[in-house]
Amino acid sequence: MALYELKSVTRRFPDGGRLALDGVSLTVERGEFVAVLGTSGSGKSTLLHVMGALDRDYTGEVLLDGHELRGLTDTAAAALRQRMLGFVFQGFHLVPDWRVRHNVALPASFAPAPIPDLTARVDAVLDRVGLAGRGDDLPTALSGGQRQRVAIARALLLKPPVLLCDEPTGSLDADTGASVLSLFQSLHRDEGYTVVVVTHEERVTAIVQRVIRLEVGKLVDDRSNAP
Amino acid sequence: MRTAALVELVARDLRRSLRSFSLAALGITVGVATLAFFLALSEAMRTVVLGRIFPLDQVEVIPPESSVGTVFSMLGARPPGVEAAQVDALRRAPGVRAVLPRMRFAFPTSGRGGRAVFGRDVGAGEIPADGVEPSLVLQDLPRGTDFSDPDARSSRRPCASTEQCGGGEFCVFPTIPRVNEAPGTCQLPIPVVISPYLLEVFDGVIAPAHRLPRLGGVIARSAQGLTLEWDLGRAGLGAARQGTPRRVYAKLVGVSRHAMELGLTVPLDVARRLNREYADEGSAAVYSSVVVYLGEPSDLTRVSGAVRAQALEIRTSGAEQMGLLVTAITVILALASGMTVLVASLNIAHAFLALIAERRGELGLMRALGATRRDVAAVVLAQALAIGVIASAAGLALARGAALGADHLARTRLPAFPFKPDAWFVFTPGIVLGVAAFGVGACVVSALVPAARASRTEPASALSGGV
Repeated sequence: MALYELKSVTRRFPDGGRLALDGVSLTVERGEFVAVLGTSGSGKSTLLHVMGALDRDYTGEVLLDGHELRGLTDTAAAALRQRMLGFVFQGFHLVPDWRVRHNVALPASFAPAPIPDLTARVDAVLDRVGLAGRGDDLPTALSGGQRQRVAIARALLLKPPVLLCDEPTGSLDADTGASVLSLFQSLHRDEGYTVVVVTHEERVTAIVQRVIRLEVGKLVDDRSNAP
Repeated sequence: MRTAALVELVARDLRRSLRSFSLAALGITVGVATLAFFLALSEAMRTVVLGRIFPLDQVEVIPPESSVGTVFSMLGARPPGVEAAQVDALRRAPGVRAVLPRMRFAFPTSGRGGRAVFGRDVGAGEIPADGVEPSLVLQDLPRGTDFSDPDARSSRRPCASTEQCGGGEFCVFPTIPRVNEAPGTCQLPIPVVISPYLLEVFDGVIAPAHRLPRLGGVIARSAQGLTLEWDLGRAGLGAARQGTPRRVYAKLVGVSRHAMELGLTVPLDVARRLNREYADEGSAAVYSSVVVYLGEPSDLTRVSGAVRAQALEIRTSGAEQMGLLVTAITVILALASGMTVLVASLNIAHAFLALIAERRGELGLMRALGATRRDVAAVVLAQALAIGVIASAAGLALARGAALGADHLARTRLPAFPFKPDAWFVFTPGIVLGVAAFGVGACVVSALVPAARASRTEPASALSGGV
């Protein structure tokens, strides 16, 4: 069974007019490293939100690990997100007044049971993203690339099998963006994460296994890519 | 969401929240402080007014014409009274816990004394007095105090001066002015009690005017120290219509809220004996008033009916009016303070709504990280709870501090006056908990709409921006 299975997924923009997604069908296997490319307004972020159960106001079917997302209750969807998905956003979404370790530990607040050795686990994921020893810093003391690494560490904390990344390098310069992409590549290659990166940057195609292209809400290309 | 995680999350975010809510939280603090301050002040006033001046659990029943009883007494005439049968009827009335009769002296008295305390004798040309059942006042006196008619226990040995008596007795001569040939007899002093009202009037008005020491301190140290030469049957306005005026001795044994307000109170047997001697048999058989103790303050209506049925009336003490006045003032001040809290809670609501708009991305992130709608609402409400707890605690501390300051000023700057309270504020557990609950509750209620709005945040659209 595929990790993700999307069947004829259609989503209108909230104004009720144009289609953000127009009959998109695709599958994502476990352990894949996928890039979703498209220009601004192509529907790629909407696709990521739908795949992340953040937006369930669609028609068609979205199956994640066999669960149809639209049919889930709010509580079940929240639990599925926590168990299965880690999110990385273009804008980092860090709480500026909290120390790095508290930002990273935030997902544990919503876990159904206390996370054993949380401090050690936070230190471990910070070490994994190259921020060892920065746990007590405030996000404002970090560079853009470091902030994005904090966001990645947060996504890794509860060890979800899937990372959904929305323009993760969009706010970074080329070199910093490259190092972040390299981190995703490492997470996929070394630790088996399924990574879906939504981006408009063509350079991503160089490191992913598969490239999906969207244009005006339609899937126009889906091909494997030998890195 | 686990409670521990919620507490930890809110505690971590508290400083940021307080920064955002500083003005609104200050409003809650001020409102809670003023509310607690006024309620504590009101409670203290209620304690003084209704506890010490006008006790609510008792009424004094008098004959209809009794308002001029004191004048009758001073003029040596027989005042109207309450018959023993009427007392018995009142004892049987529903809602009555106890009935204790009082018998006013139906003849004039005067006296002087206090040299040991004041350094010189202090006299009064007219001393109203009455007698009560000892059980009425013994509860207010130190354990072991003897408040009974000493007549039967006096040795009555012949004497020419008090020095010849001993054993606490005084040499009492049969007449005043004293006739040289007539021998005296050794007699124990009559125990008397005074009311806190008289004590307050003396300490607050008379003592400062005459540069006398305050009696309250003396009474507190030793109620046994004050003796009085008491002239029976003779006073400034006239003499008794029968009997021979003589000088006896009285000993102040304490202060009782059941004592006559402005006068001396002795054991009932003493009053009965002396009325028989200086007035007539009838004055020794009727009571000037009876104190009726209510089962509950709410029994007043039923008891009033029983009193009217006996053609008697309840002496208007002003308790109801004073109680209403205190309540009205409390309500007005509490309403003003409550409005402050409510306005502040509206500010809290506005601040939360603004904050939710500002932190929309964070709320969306929480949803993305596994928070349910209920979790998001709980975070907002818990923040409101925390702000309410902190603001209310600060408000209560502020009220307590202001009360301590006001008490200090009242103690050091205000002159003594009758019933001047030692403390002007009484912070009962009910006031503290009630006001705190009001402050916290106002905060939490004000956050209900923002919490509902926050819980409806759509994560997909909220996460479109960034932090």
